[in-house]
Parts: sequence; structure tokens; C-alpha cells
Amino acid sequence: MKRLLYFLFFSFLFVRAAAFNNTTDITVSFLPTEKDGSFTEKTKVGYRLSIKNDLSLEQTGFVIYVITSDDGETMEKKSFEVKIPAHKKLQNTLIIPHEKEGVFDISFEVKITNFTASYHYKYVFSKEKKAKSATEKKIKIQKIAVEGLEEMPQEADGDIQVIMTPEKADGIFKGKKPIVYSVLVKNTHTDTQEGTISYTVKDAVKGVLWTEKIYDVRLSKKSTKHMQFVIPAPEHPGMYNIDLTINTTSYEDTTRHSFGYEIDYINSPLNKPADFDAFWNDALQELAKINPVYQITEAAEKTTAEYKVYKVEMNSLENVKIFGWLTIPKTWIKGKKFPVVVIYPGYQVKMNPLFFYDYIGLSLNVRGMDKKSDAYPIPDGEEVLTYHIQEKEKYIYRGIYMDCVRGIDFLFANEHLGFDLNRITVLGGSQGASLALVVAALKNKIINTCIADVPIYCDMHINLEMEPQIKEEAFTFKYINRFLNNQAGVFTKEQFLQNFSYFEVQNFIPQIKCPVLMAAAFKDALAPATTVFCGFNKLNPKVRQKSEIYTFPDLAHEIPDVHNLFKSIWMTEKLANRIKK
Amino acid sequence: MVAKADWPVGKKRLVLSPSYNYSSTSSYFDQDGKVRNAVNGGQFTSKGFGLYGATGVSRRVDLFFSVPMSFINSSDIFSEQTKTGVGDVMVGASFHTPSENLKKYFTLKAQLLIPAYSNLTSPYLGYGSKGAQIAANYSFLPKKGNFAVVEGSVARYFDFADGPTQLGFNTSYGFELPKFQSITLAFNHISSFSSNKIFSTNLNSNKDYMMGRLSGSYGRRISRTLTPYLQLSYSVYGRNVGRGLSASIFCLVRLP
Repeated sequence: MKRLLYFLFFSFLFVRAAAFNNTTDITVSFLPTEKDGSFTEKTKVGYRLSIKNDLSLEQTGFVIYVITSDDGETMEKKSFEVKIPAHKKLQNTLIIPHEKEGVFDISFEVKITNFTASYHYKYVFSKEKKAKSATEKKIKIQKIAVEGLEEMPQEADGDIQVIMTPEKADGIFKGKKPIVYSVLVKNTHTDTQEGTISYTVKDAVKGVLWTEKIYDVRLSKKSTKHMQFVIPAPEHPGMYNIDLTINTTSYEDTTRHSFGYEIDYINSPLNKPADFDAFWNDALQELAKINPVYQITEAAEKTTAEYKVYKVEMNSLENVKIFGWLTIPKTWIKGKKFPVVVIYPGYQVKMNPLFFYDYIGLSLNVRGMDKKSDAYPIPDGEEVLTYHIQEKEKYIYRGIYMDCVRGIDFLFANEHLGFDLNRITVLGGSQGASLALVVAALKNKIINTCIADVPIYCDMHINLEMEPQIKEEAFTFKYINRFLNNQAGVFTKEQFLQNFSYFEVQNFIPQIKCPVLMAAAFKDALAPATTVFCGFNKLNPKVRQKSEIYTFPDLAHEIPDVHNLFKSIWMTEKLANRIKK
Repeated sequence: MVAKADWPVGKKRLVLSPSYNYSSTSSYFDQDGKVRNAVNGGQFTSKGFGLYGATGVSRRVDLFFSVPMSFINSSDIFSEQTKTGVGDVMVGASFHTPSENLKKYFTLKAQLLIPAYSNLTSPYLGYGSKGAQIAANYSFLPKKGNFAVVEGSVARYFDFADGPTQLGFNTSYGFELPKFQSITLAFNHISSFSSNKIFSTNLNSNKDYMMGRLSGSYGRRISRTLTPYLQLSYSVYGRNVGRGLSASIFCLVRLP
């Protein structure tokens, strides 16, 4: 009986999804590869995506998916570009790597030229084969499903889709010219919709209103309307949020878009303590006294036909043992050299070997990435971001930054492995980007090139000030707020920021001497674009001339595939120059 | 792979490609496209070294050159003639326009052809005439590890009224194999137009001809900078042109 109810529920979801997703011109469906939405390690978590484009216009855009655990934590958020030529169908199976067991929500958002919609499912993932535990979870999901059914509102027979496209694809505007968006409003209802479309433009840091406008709209059934928003150029450089609200007979929604204005002049005060340099000199000296005891072991199971992979281990600050993966192309000839790419991890991301055709790769795991590790265990209830922040000398990031430096020390101690020490790139995304920037600063006579995608911690002062303006959940706010609540009366936000100033990335950035490639995404709650610009604009002017920053208005904490391709072009170009010593 | 796909070389990077070529023919396609054996046991052999180089001056513009050094032997049962020297030197520029996803490039090429010899005695190293060529190609990645290039070109030799004017069409498809190996298959067609319709066993002097050639090359990267290739080509159809197999060995050197 339960099985039948479960089947009926999912059938309902699919039918509902199909009905909801069907316009006359574009049909979208997401179907789990396991019909009952229950996945195991063997079956993998998978969804079959189908987008049928019956329009005579090519559809381009993004599919975004977000996985949320049943305790509300965002587990994963990713997006990928899609392109569906006119009168063609895109079919693909999305396989989602999974480790954590449990019940999860997955939501898909499709944003293509003439179509925008969201889809929500629940699924169960267990490592075991579908056995007892899976059954138990099925019961659990069924309960949730029934609750969900009770709460589920009656859906109208359509919706209103609004696609806003900035005149400048990178969302960056300059000068006195107005900020122009072309707006496409599509009514998929079978009746006429009347109401208003309005927008407010507010600065992204303080939320100060710059301008607002309201339009009366009348949308005939199944019709499309083109509009243009002409927003006066703001008075001050900055990032600005446009909240677009549509309110009609049977539809109401608000979506956010952002643009940058005169980003070269977005800046913030440097929060560099007077003893900042001394603090880090002490840390470097302390690190130098630690015997690294490098161990290099071939990882046969990870070695491929083209690359030899080694596990490298070394002791870092406080004698904490860290490790990384060294990948050496088999085209390496003894005595010859390869440029080296050192990759640093995102927040609590375990690094795997990374393979580069033209480079030796070192992907480094730093302390705190595995909270259960023997080398540096972190007690339950503690978060890396706030671990020992009360004392800057003990704060985990002092060790993490030094772990990253130790990775560079490793290269210099093992040049015989083919490292071209005049051509070292440091790179990373998110926290990894911040680590790359810090190393590029602390080892500015050594690092040749730095690539930092959506770096977090650039300006934590501004970041925390922005919190009321940020709608999406961010672990930074979550962990800091939780920590400060727990420490109420003992450790204040001001004390947090005072200590964090020693670790704030922008305070390191003026020391960087190598070219930097940065990326900022406008919907990024973890590395708000304002903070990334504040960091980038603190580069020494000569360094800034040879550095570049790319912006992605429609993305959250990520970069598009094309930027990865560009990064390899950029890196190759910059590594053509040996570092001048 | 990138250089083979005619993508930009990369700003401040240099690609050099020394080569050794060998071709020999004792038959030809006549004016009707029929295969004929050369009269009196005629044989035309060409071998030589060449050096091609390209450097990126920006992310979208490359400069390139080519210098061929040829040894030609034209013989039959009555006589044998040889010539050694630098042939038509080529210098030019490529302008690359990438697609939004950087996976497709439209490239325009313009090059000058400068003879580094005079045709005082046969056999000839070429037309002995200055010329120019423009070409346009589209290169893309049909799937991961594969590339394809489609190219059209027009060339004109200026110093003599009978030109020739040449139209070319080239297409190539390459794919990567494990262990840094790659294979490239190509088809080249050339139609050369001239008022001078004479067919000579001194093949380099023929101006009015047409030919189609298939080629395949195998390469294996042996170090970060060196990828040697072996290439075999065969003329599959033609008119007023020699017929036969040619082979070349070349090496791509990517610097730095």
C-alpha cells in the first residue's frame, strides 16, 4: 500500500511537472533515472533532462540545480550552459556525485531565452543497495511527501516569465549613459493578465534606493511583450541590485538582477592592522623552523596512461601533516622542466589529482578540509571559519595560509622532479582563490601567475555589512552568526572583524607582483562581487595593468565553462614570461 | 592539438615546425584526368627541408612564415636535371575570431609568396613569381579530443600574365589517442587556372591543373615542447598533374 502511495505521489509530481512545464513552444522535463527517486552508490543520483524547442529561435541559457539536505543546508549548487537550436531537442542525463546519505531536495531552474521555470523533487540517497535502510527512508520521504501534498497550493494554469538582459553582456556599465535592460515578459496563462511590473534599484552594500519605477501591464493570454528598462546611471561606483516585481491577476514574483557601475573605482578602506606584516613574518619564520619531512609516494591507483600521480606529504605549522597530489605528465624528460600549477582547495573541499597537458599539477589539501582527520581534527560543533578566531595566533587560517606556503616550499625542495621554478601558477576557486591570492602575496618573488575565481574573504567587513541585502543563504553568514550568538557577551562582531583583519584577503593583495586573473559572479552570496572588486582594485596599479577581471551577471558562486577555457589561454600567455628575479 | 586546429598560437608563444618532405612520381593525371605513365621512363622527385614558424602577437593575431629548401630531380632515360635551392618563401598573418564559448574560431589569413630563386634553368623550384594568398577557415571541436578545420583559399601569382590563379579547399579532422598520440586525416583540393595549358614533366612549372589529395598523419608528443609527426599523402584525382605518394616528417616545437 505504501509503495502504491509512493508511486502515486511521484506520478503526481511528474504529471504536475510535465503539465507545468509545457508551453506550446518549449517543453521541459526532469525525470529521475530511478523511477522511485531512490538512489544508491551503484545507481548514482541521476536526472534525465529534456528540453524540446519548437520555436524557430535558438534557445540559450542555463540550467541551475540546488541540492538541499533535509536539515536545510545547501549541499551543492551548480549551473551549466545549454543551447538548443530551433526545432531541436536537448536530452541529457545529469549524474550528480554524491557521498552523504539521506533525504534531499533538488530544485532545477531552467533559464533560457524564452523560457524560465523551476522544478522541485525529493530523493533518497543511500550507499547500501536498496535494503532496509532505503525502505525506512522511503517511509520517511513518503511522510514528507504527504505533508508536502497537504501544503501544496493549487497551481494556476500558467505563469509569467520575465527575462532581463543587460545591454552589456558582462553587466558592467560606465560613464553617464543610462543602464539599459531589454525585458521580455511572457504570459503563459490562458487568460489575460493585468497588473504591474515594477523595479527598484538599490546599492548592493547598504541597500540605499537609487531609483524605482512601476509600469502598468496588460498581457493577453499566451502573449509575449518586449519592454526596455532605462535606468539612470548611478552617482557612485558600485554594485547595484535590481529587484523586479511582477504582480498580476494571478501571478506574483520578485526576481533579482545586478549590475556593476564604474567597477574600477569600487573600493573600500584597507583594514590592515599596524602589525599585519610582522604577524605574517613571524608565521613564515615559525613555518621555516618546522622540518617538512617531505614524503613522495607514487599513487599507482591514480596514475594514468598519460600522468604519473604521487601522494606528497609534508609537515606544516604546528607540525600538522598535510598532503597533496602531484601529477607529472609522462612526457616529462628527466632534466627538463615543466611549469607548475598549484591548486588550493575550496572550503572543506578535498582535492583530487588534477591533470594538465602542459603543466605539472600540485593539488594541495590543507588542514581543516576534513574535520575528522587525525592530523587536525576539529571538534563537533565547531566550524573551520570560526575555529580559534578568538586568538589570531591560534586561528586555523594562520595554519591554512602557512600550509599553502609549505606547498610552494615543497616545489623548491624538489626541483629535480621537473619543476620550473620560474613558472609557478597558483590558482583556486572560492576559498581556494583566496588562498592563491594570499600565497601570491606572501611569496611575491616566486609566484609567476595567480588565478582566483570568486574569492571569498576579500573584504569581510563589507561582506558582513552587506548581509541584509543578500537574499541567498551563505555559509559565511551562517557560521559567523551562529558563532557570535554562541559567544554572545564574550566575543563580539567587532572583535571578530578585528582578528579577521589579519586574514582578510584584500590586506594581502597590494603585495602581489604577478598578473592576476579574477572572476566575479553577480548572484554570489559567498563572494559578493563588491568584495571581489574591492580586492581586485587593491592590486598595485602596475600589477593591475597586466591583470584582468571577468564578470558573470547570471551566476552565483561559480564560473561558466568558457571561463575555464579562457583561464588556460591566459595562463599559457602569462607563463610565457619567466619571473624576473 | 590547438596549433593543428589552427587556433591562435597564443600571445608571446612561438611554434616552429621543421620538416623533411619526400615525393616521387613516375605517372601523372593527363588533361582528361586519366592516369598515364611518364614517357621515356620519366621520374620527378622532390625532397627537401622546410621550416614553418608562427608567433602570437596578441590573443587573436599570429604572424607566420615558411621557408622551403628543395632538391628536385627530373629524369628520364635520356637526361637528368637537378636543382637545389630555397623555394617560395611565405610570410603572413592570421586573424582569429573566437566564438562566445571559445571552442570555435573563424580565421582569416593573408600571406605573401616570395620566390627566393630565379627560373633560369629547369627543373623549376616554383613559378618564380611573387604572389599572394588569402584564406579563411573555420575550426571547431566536434567532440572532446577531436578537432576539425574547413578552409578555403585563393592565391594569385603576379609577375606573369598567365598567373596562375589558384583556388584551394582543405578540410582536416584530428583526434587524440591515449598516451599523447594523435591522428589527423585531411583532404586538400586545388584548382589552378592559367592561360598556359602546357603540361610539363617539370611538374613545378605547370600552371593549369587540378588535384585532390588525401593525407593522414600520426603524431606523438614526446616532451612538453616536441611533437613529431609522420605524414603520408596520396593524390587521388587530378588533371595535368603528377600522381603519387609523398611522405613527410615534421615536428611541432611549442615554445616556451
